[in-house]
Amino acid sequence: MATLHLVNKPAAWEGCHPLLDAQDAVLLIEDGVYLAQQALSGATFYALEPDIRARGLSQRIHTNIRPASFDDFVGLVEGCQRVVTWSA
Amino acid sequence: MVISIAVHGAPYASAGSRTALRFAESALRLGHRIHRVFFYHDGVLAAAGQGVAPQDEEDLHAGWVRLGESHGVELAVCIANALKRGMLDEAERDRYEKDAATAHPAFTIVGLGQLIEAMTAADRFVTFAA
Repeated sequence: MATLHLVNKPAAWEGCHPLLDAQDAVLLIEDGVYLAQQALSGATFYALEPDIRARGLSQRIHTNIRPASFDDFVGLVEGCQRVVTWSA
Repeated sequence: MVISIAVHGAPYASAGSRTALRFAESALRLGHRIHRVFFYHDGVLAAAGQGVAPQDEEDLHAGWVRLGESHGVELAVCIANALKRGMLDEAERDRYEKDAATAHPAFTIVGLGQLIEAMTAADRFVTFAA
């Protein structure tokens, strides 16, 4: 994984999407997990599980997006070369 | 792994302060080191020592203080953002002759250079947006 992208709201996705590399990972957090209801392409996708649950989206997450715990979040940060935070 | 964290959002108004705190707690539990948490923009309000959280809500300020005091994590507050939002430690209270110090002593008020140092001293730098 080259870059881990953090997307914390749906509007932040527009800036992030065109710049993704196939080797990158995207972690959807906070209101960004609403994006996980659809198929996303361009990288490997994760969504923060406590934020999915808090929004009642557990049954609505697209199959190509993997749920991630906070421990997984730390593992993703460790596994990448850099973290980019997108804001809108 | 050594991690530095930046928090841009105010507690309660933004989810970022809570997400950052949970991330930091996980990282410490997994054996990583947090070099510094840098509170920037509205994030500085996490230092508010006089806040009282409702009983049915998480006390984020207390969570940060616990992280600082129990794990020796440096909680650094941007001075420019802190002063204009009324976050003063004892030294700034004296300097500006205000009535009270409002920032909890677990937090230190620092210059922007400490944000750059936090980036360069850590293996990973993670920003939590507002």
